[in-house]
Amino acid sequence: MKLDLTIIFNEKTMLLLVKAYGWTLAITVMALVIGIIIGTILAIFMVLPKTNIVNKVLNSFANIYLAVVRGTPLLVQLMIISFVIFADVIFFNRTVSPYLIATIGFGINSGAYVAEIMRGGILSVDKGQMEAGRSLGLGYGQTMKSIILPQSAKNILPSLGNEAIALIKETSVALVIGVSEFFTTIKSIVNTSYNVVTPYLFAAIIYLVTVMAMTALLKKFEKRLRKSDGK
Amino acid sequence: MENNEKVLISTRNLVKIFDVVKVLDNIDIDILDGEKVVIIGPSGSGKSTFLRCLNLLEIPTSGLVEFKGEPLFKCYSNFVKEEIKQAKKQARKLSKSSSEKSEYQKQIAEMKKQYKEQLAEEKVFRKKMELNLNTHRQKMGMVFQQFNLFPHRTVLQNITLAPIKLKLATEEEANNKARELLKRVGLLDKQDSYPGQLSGGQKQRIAIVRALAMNPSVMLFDEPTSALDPEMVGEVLDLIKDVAEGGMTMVIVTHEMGFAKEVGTRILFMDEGKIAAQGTPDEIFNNPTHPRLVEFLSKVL
Repeated sequence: MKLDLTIIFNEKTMLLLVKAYGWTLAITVMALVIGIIIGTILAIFMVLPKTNIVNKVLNSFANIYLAVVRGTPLLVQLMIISFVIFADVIFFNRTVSPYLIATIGFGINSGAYVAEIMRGGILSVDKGQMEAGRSLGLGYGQTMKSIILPQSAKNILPSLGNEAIALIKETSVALVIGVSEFFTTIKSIVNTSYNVVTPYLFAAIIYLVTVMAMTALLKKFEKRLRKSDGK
Repeated sequence: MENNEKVLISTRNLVKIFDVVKVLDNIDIDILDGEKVVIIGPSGSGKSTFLRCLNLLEIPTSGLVEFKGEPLFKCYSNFVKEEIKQAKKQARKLSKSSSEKSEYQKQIAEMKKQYKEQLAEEKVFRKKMELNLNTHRQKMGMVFQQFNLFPHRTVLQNITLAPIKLKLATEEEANNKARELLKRVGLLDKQDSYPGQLSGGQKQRIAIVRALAMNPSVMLFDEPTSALDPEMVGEVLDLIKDVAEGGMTMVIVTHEMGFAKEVGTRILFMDEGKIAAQGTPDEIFNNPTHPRLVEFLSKVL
């Protein structure tokens, strides 16, 4: 088996690959956004003072969500979301697109992991900050939003980067519900060209470059957030 | 002070229990408008807890806290619960057939009924209070031992954040007021610095300004100089004195006895969760009578 660049660098395959790579990026970014929204809400549920019944219910809800989502494989979750929950859903006379289902599925999955990252970030902020905010007459939610969360943001960024990197690679699982993302396309090239080396090596290089670009972006962002540290 | 006897903050039967330790034991106090109350006492005597109970950063176990005649906290159900427990313990000691026992059981049933009524009443009160508490807290400035400035905001933003978020002032008004206050404490040139770039003394002065920017009716100081390097204590105490001379009502927890003597109009000596002695600085420092107070002063002076 030898390297044969022509099977990848021809117009037809390139077009397919670029489109598939675009889907991979789009699903990752959208899922991450959903994950961060879900994760932040769940994290706040988990750190709420357990003084009344509403808070306790929200707290248990978050715990159950985490237990279920982290306790079952992503593959199984995608299958259930696609073939059980969305199986009979008709939207504008069409079944729901697998791309949308994949985005939702990855978002829900990612939300559970982001929740724990966020919770750690919130707990890393000194307890005195909440007290200072409350003593000025700000409510719990207001203090959380304008004092605690911005400070936790820079602490969670490295872990959030981890999650984003894991997610971009995990999207290849989506092929089970019929999404033709980047790695699915690579596999189909292998199947049609009978060449294993070139497509897989190419895929590895592309993933590596993508992750390196993301890392650089994160570093830049973190530096901006750390401006107030005077470091 | 004598001609203005308006009660600003008062507490009745204030009790705080951490696990099994009674940190505050039935504290009754009235703080008058314009008074400078200084709380001294050995560590672990409940000074800070008491101060934090006044603006409910620490939720008391039972008792009453009033601010400007309005109750901020009212809870007696825990007290009744404790009494029921005691009565049950007593009843268990007695033999089954004795008439005393049935008497006790009647009492317990009565108390349980009372407890349920209290609980329902307090639930209504708490719901109403939750929103009110934030408005009351705006009028109770608090200065912490660890400054607790917001590290992600500049000095100016630290001061204006609450007034702007709470819509008490427009951004421009808040900025102007903050600059004016900063000028007064001589820190105007630091308005765009971040707290991480300031010295401890500067941080604490900014924290005091942040509280003042809310136009509070009372300032609570929780050991404002305990986390400072010795050479910076002076600048912070001078500022507090300055604010005191402006007529602000103050409650100060401190270990600086000289400062307490100078600024305080009333000194409270706390010991084991109780106010063991109180009086004018002269009575407390020059003619102490309470044995624990004498012992404490001999150690710190």
